[in-house]
Amino acid sequence: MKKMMIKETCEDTRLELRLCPPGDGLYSIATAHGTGCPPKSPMSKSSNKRVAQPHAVVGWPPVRTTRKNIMTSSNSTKVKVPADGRGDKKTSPDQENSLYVKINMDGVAIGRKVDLKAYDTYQKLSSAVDELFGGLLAAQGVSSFGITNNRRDISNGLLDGTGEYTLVYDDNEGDRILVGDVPWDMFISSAKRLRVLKTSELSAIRQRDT
Amino acid sequence: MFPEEVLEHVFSFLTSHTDRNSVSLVCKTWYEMERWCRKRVFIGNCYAVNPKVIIKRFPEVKGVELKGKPHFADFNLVPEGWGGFVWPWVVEFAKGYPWLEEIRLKRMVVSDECLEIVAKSFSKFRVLVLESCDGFSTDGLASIASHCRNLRVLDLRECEVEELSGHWLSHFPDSFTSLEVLNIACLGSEVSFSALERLVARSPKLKTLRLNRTVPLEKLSTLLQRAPQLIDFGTGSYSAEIRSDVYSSLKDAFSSCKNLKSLSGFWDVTPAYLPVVHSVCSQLTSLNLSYASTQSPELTKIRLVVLDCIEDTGLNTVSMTCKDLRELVVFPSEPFVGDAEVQLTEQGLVSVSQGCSKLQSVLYFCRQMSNSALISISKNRPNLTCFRLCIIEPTVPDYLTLEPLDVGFGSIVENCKQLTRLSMSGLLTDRVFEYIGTHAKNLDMLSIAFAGDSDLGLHHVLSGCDSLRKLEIRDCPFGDKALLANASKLEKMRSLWMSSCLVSFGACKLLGQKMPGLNVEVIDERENLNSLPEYAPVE
Repeated sequence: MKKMMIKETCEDTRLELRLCPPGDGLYSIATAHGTGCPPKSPMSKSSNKRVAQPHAVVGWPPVRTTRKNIMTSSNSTKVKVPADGRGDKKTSPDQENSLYVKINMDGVAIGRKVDLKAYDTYQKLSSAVDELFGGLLAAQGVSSFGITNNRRDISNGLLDGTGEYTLVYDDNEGDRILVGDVPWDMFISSAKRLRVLKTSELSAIRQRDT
Repeated sequence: MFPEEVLEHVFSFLTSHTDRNSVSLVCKTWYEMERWCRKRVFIGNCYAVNPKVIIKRFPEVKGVELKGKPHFADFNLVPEGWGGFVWPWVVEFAKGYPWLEEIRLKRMVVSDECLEIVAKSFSKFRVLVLESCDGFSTDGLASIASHCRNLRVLDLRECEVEELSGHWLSHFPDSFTSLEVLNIACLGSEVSFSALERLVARSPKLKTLRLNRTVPLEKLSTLLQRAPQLIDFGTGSYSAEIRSDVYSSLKDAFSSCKNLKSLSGFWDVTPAYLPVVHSVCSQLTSLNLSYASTQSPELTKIRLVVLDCIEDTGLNTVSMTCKDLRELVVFPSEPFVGDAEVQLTEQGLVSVSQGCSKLQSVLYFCRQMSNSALISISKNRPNLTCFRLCIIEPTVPDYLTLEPLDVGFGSIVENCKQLTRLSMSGLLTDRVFEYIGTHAKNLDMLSIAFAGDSDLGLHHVLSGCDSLRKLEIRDCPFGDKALLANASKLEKMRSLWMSSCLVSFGACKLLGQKMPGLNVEVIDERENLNSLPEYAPVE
């Protein structure tokens, strides 16, 4: 049976492989059919210049995703902390000692990702949340006082229910829990995603608990 | 001419699919006879044939095995939504094979609805094996558990499962006692331990039990005590505070498993707990420590899967003690780090090739290789059937001479005449393909990446490798010429994958026109006549 299917992938920079930095290498070879052995130059370039980041190539080395994070942070000397305080770097799946979870905030359209292993206390996480979303919130011009671009401190009262926002998380059983109830290590081992909710919407729960 | 009854009886001894396929080609009578008595059908490429055709040809089938996505899908090279959906097959099977007993799928997309249909349509259903599949959730598993009264095998091998709840296990009714294989190692979330314990307790025929990482070490002995008849056991997380009561109950539990042949799991190992398995070590034939980042084993195996933390010294020990070793797999502990801290080099593999005379199959990740090492390995082990070498950084040359590794791999194909599977890496020119085309006459599957100089490389392979059926190529300068010149070869193959090579869209169209029996598919995000096409699977 004769079948020809041409598929357009909706995303996907994954299919565009690059051995060399963008703007260089294989892509330009492709449009110059039959010109000698062009692949040699970029390829020997990379083998000569001792590529520092072998993980820059998609799907190489050929290991499955389940094998990417075997060296967990159980060995503390191997923990790698991100260079700056923000835990939301463009995620490379090859950072062994990181635990990126999604974090969404009420009223902010775009979610972020935060590396829980970059912190060791709830206070630090709280500050990180402020860093992640404070700017976005201000940029959206959201302010109950009618003042735009006024950057608010989200971390204020984030963990104790006294602030405008409260931090909660979804655990590995699908339950939603207030952040801060359990020891930090237990928290990061069970937290699957975080949410920054408006405290006013939690008031029903708070009343029930007090 | 033999009477039909005799032929049928003879055919019943043929279990290999290749044999059955050959038999059906002898003559029309044999074709007819064979199709009526085929009980298991294997479809290596789900797009090769329409399910209705299979059902029509083989009406008495009890077991089906299907494969979907190409191998490189494992490494994220195939886009989401590409295909491999089992739905159309399951729908047809529900109509055409009401007595179906076994379904085995590899790299297919399986939805919860599919699982529900399977659970409800086949009253004699016994075996479900899903390998590298995705698309379903624990709800689908709950359907299977609820309805498959005679289930013997539930084997989830490295699947991606949406884990909505750990309670799906409780859906197996109390009257359900037929389970023989349960493999849930790929699940990331907790399953209800009490349901698991009760299930194990009422499954006297349970032979394989592979737990997932969330089952804690402290609870392992409880399970093992309920299943001393196990042959294949996979632990959960293997780490806990060191406590003598935990230690001794584990030790007792393992020693009561007299039939244990295979051990795996061992996530997050606390080395102090490893000696509890020593009592069973001598009877093990397979040991998978590939999630255990420690250096351990002095254990005699037939199949050993480890991380590179074992280092050259560990492999040297293996070469001296594991005299029955047939298969060695060494995975990288830190695949994305440029310079490794582990001392694992080509030397480890050379030692094993020297000491383990029965070694047939190798999958080895390392960071350096030399032609002389490859030559030694090939001369030490001419009985190799599978040789897969991955040097972590692409296009590295022989680290001693800085030459390409052509001669080394050439030696492998020349000396290992029974080689059926080969994966190469490192700096390779067209020359290596000339060696392969000349010598690798039994090669069935070849994987190539970042290799070769020109179309000549591909031409050597396609024209020389008589037995080649699966070829996967990425990032090689192979283009239209070799592909079109060897179009007729493609018809004899199961599949060809080419990504990031130099094949033009025009050539793909031409290929499709020239060879109407082939499925030619192009995946590319730009629609442009001169664009670089990425994919061509072949029937």
